[in-house]
Amino acid sequence: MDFATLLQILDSTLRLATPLLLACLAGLFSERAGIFDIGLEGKMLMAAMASGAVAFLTGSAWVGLGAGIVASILLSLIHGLASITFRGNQLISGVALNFLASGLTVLIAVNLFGQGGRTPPLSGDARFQAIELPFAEALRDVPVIGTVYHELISGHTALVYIALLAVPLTWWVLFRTRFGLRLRAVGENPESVDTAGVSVVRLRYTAVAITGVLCGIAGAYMATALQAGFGREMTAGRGYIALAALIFAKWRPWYALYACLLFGFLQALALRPDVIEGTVGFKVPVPALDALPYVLTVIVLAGFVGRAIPPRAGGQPYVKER
Amino acid sequence: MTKLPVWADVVLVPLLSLLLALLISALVILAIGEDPVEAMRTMLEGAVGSAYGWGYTLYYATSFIFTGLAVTVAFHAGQFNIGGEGQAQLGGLGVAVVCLSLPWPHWTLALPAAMMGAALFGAAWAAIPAYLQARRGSHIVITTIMFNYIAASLMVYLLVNVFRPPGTMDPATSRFPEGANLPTLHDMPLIGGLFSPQVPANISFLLAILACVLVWLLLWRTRLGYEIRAFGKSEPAAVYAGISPFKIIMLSMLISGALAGMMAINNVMGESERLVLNSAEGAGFIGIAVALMGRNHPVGVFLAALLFGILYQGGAEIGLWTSIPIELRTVVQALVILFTGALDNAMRMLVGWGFRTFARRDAAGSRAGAA
Amino acid sequence: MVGRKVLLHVEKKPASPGRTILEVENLRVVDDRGVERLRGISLHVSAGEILGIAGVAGNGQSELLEVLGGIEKATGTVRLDGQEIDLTGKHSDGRTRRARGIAHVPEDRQHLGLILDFMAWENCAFGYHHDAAYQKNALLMDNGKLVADAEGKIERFDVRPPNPRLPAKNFSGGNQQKIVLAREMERAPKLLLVGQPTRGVDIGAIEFIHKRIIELRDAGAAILLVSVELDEILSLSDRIAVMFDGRIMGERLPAETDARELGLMMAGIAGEKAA
Repeated sequence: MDFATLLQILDSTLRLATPLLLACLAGLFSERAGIFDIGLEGKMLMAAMASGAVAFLTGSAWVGLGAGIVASILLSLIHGLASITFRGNQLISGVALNFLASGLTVLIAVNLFGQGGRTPPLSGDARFQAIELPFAEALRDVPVIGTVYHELISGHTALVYIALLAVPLTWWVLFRTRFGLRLRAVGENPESVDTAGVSVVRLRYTAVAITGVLCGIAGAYMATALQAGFGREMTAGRGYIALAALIFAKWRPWYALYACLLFGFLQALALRPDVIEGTVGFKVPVPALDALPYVLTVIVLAGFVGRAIPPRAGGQPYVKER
Repeated sequence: MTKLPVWADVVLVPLLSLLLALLISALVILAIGEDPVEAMRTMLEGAVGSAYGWGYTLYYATSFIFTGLAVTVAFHAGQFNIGGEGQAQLGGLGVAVVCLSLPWPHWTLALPAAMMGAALFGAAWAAIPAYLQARRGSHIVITTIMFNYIAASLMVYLLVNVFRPPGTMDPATSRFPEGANLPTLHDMPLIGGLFSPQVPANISFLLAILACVLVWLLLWRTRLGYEIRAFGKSEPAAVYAGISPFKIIMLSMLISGALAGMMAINNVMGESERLVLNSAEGAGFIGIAVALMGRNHPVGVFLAALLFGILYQGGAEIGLWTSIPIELRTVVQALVILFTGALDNAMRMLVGWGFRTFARRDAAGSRAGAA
Repeated sequence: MVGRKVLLHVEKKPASPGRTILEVENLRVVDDRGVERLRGISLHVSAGEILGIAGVAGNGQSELLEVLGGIEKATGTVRLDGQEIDLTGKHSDGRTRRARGIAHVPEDRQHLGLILDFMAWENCAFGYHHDAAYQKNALLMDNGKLVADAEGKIERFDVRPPNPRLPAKNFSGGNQQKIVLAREMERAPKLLLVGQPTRGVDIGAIEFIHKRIIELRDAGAAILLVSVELDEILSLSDRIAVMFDGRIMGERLPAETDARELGLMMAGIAGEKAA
């Protein structure tokens, strides 16, 4: 593998890690507040469809992004209703919402565009365009550093940078603000938060809404940046991979970034069987590469890379003592 | 919250959930500019309005009974097995391996062997997530989902590179030998006259009913079932009673995987008579809705599977005769899962509220009568 | 509460201890966090004798019961009737302990002793469900026999309401406890482990339960009693061991000690008294 190929693969690593990262941080907020959410997948899918459709209809990727976020938040609120207000089973709610998204997205897309559940291809302003960072062009001939800056760091869509910035922001919110402290407390020991006179329900709803926003961006990125339009089941299990990354990262923002980059790297590799063949010396079947992220996720879950302990009150509805 | 009588919890809550799911679906149909009444009529006529329709409805129901029972058994042990889809696909592989390995002279010989194959492969696919849950505490919900994706990749590889007969482009196995073809319900004595020729519903339907009985016996009449239910209710108490968590997680998941795998008898051996890509067609997931709606009881699973059979066959008819996309089925399925599994407390409150209202009206009525 | 006065006068004959049933040597338990919960416990209980373990909750009594009942793993030596018991959990758990004649009334009946969603008849066999008497054949259990068995237990232990088909969660605390006691005591165990037998139980039931424990002792069972109620320990025990911080601080005879001395020992202040 030469330097140029490596750069190419790292470049697509970053592109592919972005939706994982956004979804992973989304899950982080929810689970830190004690609400399990295996419906990240469905929220992303819903947001992808909504943003793809609206971006096509309005011609603006940013309006599409807004629509994606709204769609995703709607699903979040249903999840909140089921798991916070009605103290239902959070896992089942997540599963149901994934199916709901899977069915509704196709239903709506077929109804709107009649193209077998796809949205029409996006172009121009309906799609997020690559951003040239300052001096990228001037520095491109500086060996190594300049090339890396030009090829790898510059030239992504705005959403990639938003996702990357979301990592320190998440860290700051969770560990440096009073809101973050309460959010973490509500996932570990809701009784103490309640005793302190802070509403558990409101905190959890806020967390779930943040999850909706981040999943919305993730889905919009899928349809309006990574690809040019929505296609049925286009998230292809990324919501679950993000969950695995979250567990891998032990519910910490910076580790979430590393985990998502790793999973993104694996997905990038799976797109380049020729490179793998060149590196390992034999032909690896494509399905094996497709399965690789899932297999790795299982290995991660099996705890062979360190034991992960979830927030203590995770998955349990909070019942106020009377 | 009012405490509901058992019958209300078992019958009214699922029915109300279904009603709400249908109501919301009707709104969705309205929203996309179609006629929900017409859609309902098309669905019912297509599913139960003819011998032909019943043939398909029962065919789908058979698959759903198996996957619904699979979710039920795991659920009683406190394990949420979302891997039915992958386990059913692997079950199909087991059936294909058995059916293709010998020139079977008669289906009566092929069927037991294929059932073994289906159960074994399905169980094997559930075994790894089960082991990881039992020994390493890996969340079985996520591992079984991952195994669905891994199964899909595995099947692509096997069907394209291993089982595809030379000279064909279709990623599928060759046809099973004649002797491995199962009799359809039309071929059966006594009831055959009720069904048109070429119905996909086959003898597996009877096996599915048998499976309901056996699962009921297992859960409520055997020591293993007793231990499974005890463990599912309280792990610490089960350990106190000397019940091994490892044993229960493994056995319940193996049985669950075997049941999901057995579904392949119906669709792979009974219908397509060869193994194709994505053979389970989502039936593994519908098992979740069926188990929740059936209140994790074999009788309930049977009825819910029948209902989903109607929904599925009727949904196909809607897709065929109206411009409503077939994905409407997935929406209804999702809503049923949501209402019966996650919003069940809300449903109970609703039913309880209804009870109280009626009770008050009754009381008022009798008072008025007395005066 | 007036009821506690009643407790002090449990009618009982002096114990006539027989052969040693339970021998514990140097028992150690380390929990998940690496904290040592039991720091080398040694004790023995004879047939027809009640050894009471006094202590403030959280000083290792629960762990002691759970190790002996087969729930937790430990190191050290435990012999029952002269035969060693495996403490690693590989060849021994709650089921094999029961087969050896160890019955266990756990401290927390709702968390451990009962499946609250199971009906009373199902709970009456909990832990003993492998018993040959409960089976119809090699495959199936005999639910009819289980119900009949539960009806007998409910009558003899005066469980109210006397309905074996009621879920355990619908019984009051005292009646739940009676279900557990009936199940564990009617097996004529060699050793009865009993934790907090009367916690959250009404006065009438307390007397009833104490009488049954004495009866079982007089029938020749060895009884290890753990309770945080000093009165209960003082009135039921034939010998008293005090636990503090995973150790046994000392042993006393009930006639030769009082709540004050025991209280000091429970606080970790060793009473230097010639035994």
